[in-house]
Amino acid sequence: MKNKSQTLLLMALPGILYFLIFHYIPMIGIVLSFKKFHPALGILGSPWIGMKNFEFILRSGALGRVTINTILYNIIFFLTNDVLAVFLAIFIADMAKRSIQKFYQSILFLPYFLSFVVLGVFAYNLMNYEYGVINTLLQSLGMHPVDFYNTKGLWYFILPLFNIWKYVGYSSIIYMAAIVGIEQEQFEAARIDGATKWQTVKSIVIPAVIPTFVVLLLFRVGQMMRGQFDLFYNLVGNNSPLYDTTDVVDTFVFRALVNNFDIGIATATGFYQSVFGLFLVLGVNALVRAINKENSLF
Amino acid sequence: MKRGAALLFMAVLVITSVFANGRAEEASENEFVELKMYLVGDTVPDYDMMLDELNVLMEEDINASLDVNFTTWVDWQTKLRLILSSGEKVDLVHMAPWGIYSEQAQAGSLMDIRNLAPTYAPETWNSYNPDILKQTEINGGVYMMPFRYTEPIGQGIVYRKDLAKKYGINEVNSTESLMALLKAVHDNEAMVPFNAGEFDLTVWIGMAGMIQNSRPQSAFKVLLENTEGVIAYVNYDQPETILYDYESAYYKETMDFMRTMYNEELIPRNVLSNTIGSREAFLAGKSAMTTLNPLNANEEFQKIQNSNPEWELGYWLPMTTMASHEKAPAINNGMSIPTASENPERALMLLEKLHQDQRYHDLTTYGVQGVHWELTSDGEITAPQGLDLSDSGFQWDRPCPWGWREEKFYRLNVLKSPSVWGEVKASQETMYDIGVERKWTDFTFDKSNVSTEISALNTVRTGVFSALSWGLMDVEEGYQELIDDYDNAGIETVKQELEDQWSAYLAGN
Amino acid sequence: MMLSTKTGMSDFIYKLTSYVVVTAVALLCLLPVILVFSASFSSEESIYQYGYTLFPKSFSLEAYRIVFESPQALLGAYGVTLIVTGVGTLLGLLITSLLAYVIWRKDFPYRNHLAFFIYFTSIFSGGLVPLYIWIVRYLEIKDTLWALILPNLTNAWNILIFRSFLNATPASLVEAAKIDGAGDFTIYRRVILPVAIPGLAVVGMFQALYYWNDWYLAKLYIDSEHLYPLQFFLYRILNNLQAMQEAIASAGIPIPDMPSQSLKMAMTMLVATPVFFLFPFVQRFLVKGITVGSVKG
Repeated sequence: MKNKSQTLLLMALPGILYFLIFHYIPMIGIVLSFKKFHPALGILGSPWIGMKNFEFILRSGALGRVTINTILYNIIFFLTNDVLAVFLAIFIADMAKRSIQKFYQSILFLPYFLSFVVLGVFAYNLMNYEYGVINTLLQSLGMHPVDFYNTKGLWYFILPLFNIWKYVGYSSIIYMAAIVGIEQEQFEAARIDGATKWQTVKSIVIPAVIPTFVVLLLFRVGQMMRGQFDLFYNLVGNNSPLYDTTDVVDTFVFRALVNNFDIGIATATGFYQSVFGLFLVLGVNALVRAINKENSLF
Repeated sequence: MKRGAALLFMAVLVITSVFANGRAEEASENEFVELKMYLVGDTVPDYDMMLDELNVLMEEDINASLDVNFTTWVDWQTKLRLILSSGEKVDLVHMAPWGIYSEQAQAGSLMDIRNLAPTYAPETWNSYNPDILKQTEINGGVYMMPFRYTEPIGQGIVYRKDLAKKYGINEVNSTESLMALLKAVHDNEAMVPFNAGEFDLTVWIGMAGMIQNSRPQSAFKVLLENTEGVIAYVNYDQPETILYDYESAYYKETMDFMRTMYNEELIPRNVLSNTIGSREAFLAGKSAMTTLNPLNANEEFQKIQNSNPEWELGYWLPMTTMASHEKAPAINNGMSIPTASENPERALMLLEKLHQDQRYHDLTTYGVQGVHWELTSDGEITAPQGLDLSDSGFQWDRPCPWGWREEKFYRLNVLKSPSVWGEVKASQETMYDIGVERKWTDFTFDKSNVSTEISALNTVRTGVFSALSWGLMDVEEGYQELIDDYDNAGIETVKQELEDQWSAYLAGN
Repeated sequence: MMLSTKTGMSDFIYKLTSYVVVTAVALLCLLPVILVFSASFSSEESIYQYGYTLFPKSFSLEAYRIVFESPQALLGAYGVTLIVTGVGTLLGLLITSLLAYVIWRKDFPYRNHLAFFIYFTSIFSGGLVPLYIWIVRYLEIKDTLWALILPNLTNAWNILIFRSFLNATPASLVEAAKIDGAGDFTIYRRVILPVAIPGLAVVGMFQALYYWNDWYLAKLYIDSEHLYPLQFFLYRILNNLQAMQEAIASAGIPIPDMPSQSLKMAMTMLVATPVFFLFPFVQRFLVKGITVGSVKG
């Protein structure tokens, strides 16, 4: 018994070392949240300043805004992107020819290869006021141009749209894998029972996809407070008039680092991100565990 | 869970032991070393070709070679700060008061060279004017070897004079004539008159203030500024009163001006998201103006003129209308040795060569003789036969040799060079005439007591401030928001601290 | 009869809906790619004048001509990215599959602790600066390819996905192998890996795509130009005219004469297209892998 888990431990060792070296050791940096970082003194030698860094975050007045935006966008992203991905996966899996399946899959996957940097340049070309593609079109139809980059509310739609555009193909592959795993006999049986396609989807496919969906959801919840920096940064960048509806914790941390290079403040915000994320996960995980133990993360 | 805790504990042990490690021993004086240098901005295609030649000289003279890295302009400050605060083993970095010199010197990541420099760079060190060294002082230490050159100063506007003339404007030399040009272009040409973008964000905000009629008309000293511009300053003739940029008349005038630009569609509506700067648009014939630093105005002028011979270019340096202006800092560029360097002696020996040996200066500034530059019979620098300067692999003075520039070696002096663009030369002569010696150069605001407030202030400036500065908000509404944000950020505390330090300084002098 | 017509009708609507939805999303995905493609073939003038259009308003090969005249930098970046992606994906897969296998084994006493140990890293992090200091000063891998490979060898997400693939593998397989006297490592290598091919394919693809698309690590840790990976190479060009001129140095085009807009788009296309064409091959493997995995009866 003892011997057996030793081999397993040994097998896990490279991975454990990796996480130790590249994740746990740098975590010591979290102490900087309570310090004033002084390069000459190093991380451990820098003086403690208590909660002063957190005071800044509160003082900046942005904390509530960025937290709410972060959560809100994550919910919107998950609902739009993943629900669409599930349906795309279901629809594509059902298509008659393998070649057609592949054709659609490839196209859906295309945008994943265009980096967000390109996306930012592209978005500006699409939406800028003077000669953006959309506004040129609107004007040729005799309509008023839309000032996208100065209209806060629109971004609740624009950002999810770009998010879907970039990730829906990627996400649908994961769901596709879950669907392809369903045993053929089940479909056979349903067909003999005279079930319509809709009914089959509802009673067989969707239940099969749910575990994957839940795992992804849980994962997203843990990551909720961070991630997606690329999307927000490249699409919105320095455009401060939009911050009310587009500023998330990640972009906030980034600016704290770039504008002030205040490592203490950036770390403190990161710490806040982590703790908040941890509570979210523990909460949701407990909930999932209560409903179905198998689907929970740990 | 116990296991996890044990692992965590182990990790902590590992780190503590490693992070507590001291500095490695230094290379002895006669051993061959490779020096590592960081310069700001971008490199040029033929930089390595030049470096090969330089390394031959260096090996012979100081038994060392040089490895140069560039930060690129996109994120040079963050990159330099990371390098310096992480204690990377770098031997030389470009430093400037317009960069992060005082911040990093105060943070202790730069070496105080007062002890080593007299031994390892004696000629250069001993020939510095004491006034200049005083300017480099931060809390009594000297953390950079400054260059020795009076730099052209100010930030100017280059515009399409041919378009201006077409619409009956002879010259742009005031806010009014600038507006007239931009409006005429808006009404008649297929371009956004000032097609600004990200590139212009930092430069233009300061410029816009400078072209206002109510701006300070004589020399002033900046006491507190950040990347977005000046916050506090004093006039030379009235140093007791600290003035605040955002409370001044010209600040509001600037906002009104920018709001007009925005409303009249003289700038792109979405300027904050535009990744194409006005320089690029100007070159493509899609903007009637852009900003241009007199430092490289001449070079840019020749390039643009070569590609577009049918254009006529005009240059306006708004500061020339001031009654007096403080001269450019004598330490506007320099080289520093990071605390983490293992070869400070050799680094200083290299600086000595760069400052005292014309071959070193010429190589790093103009490239390889015969390939990138040539001398005329009367000693003027010129392009070798058949080389178009604008597609040279080593653009003169471009890859950041500014940190060790020497008046006695420098061949591109705007005031002395005969081939210089007339309008730039004229503006620099004026600047020279109205220049007054800098005062209170050894005052540095010590921010350590108010660092949280300063950080908060900087955040405000990237928020409502930039929107206001580009006319994206209603002036009254936006200004009120700005004041509120400043108050929340704790500007009163900063003001108090600054006033205390400044009056203590004045009393001590 | 009635019933089956109704079913037929309903299924027809289902089919119609599915094709309409998938086609609409596909078009949405395709559109930007086409616009970028078209811009790369447009003359500089027309991009400034009309922005991006579906078809070039005035066709020009200028941008591609310039890039092909001086492809060294682009090819170099390709080389770096290929190495990083290859090495990183293989190493990553090894570590990922080992960890996932261990936490999947129900008889491993610390499986929950280990899972939490892994998962925890996706929530907590020490931030940029400590990691930077650690990598630069103590691991001393700055400005080497390792700095692009090691920091993201695997992550909780990949391990989780792989484990969920293993969940589909019957535990009886392990039991049977054990009775045959196989050790844990042998079970992993001989029994688990072969059935887990779909998982390896999917996770491997995610991992490869991550390496392929990453530019941030290079921005932090790479100074030498010959170590720039593709996406960072592109990032610099998109942000900086000077970098663009460098990238096509031997073409010797002065900045004012560079068709910078179309060049940016041409570079984007040249960075992205080879993967577009590579994808169907990966995909074949992927679909095959997934199908193989599902035939477990």
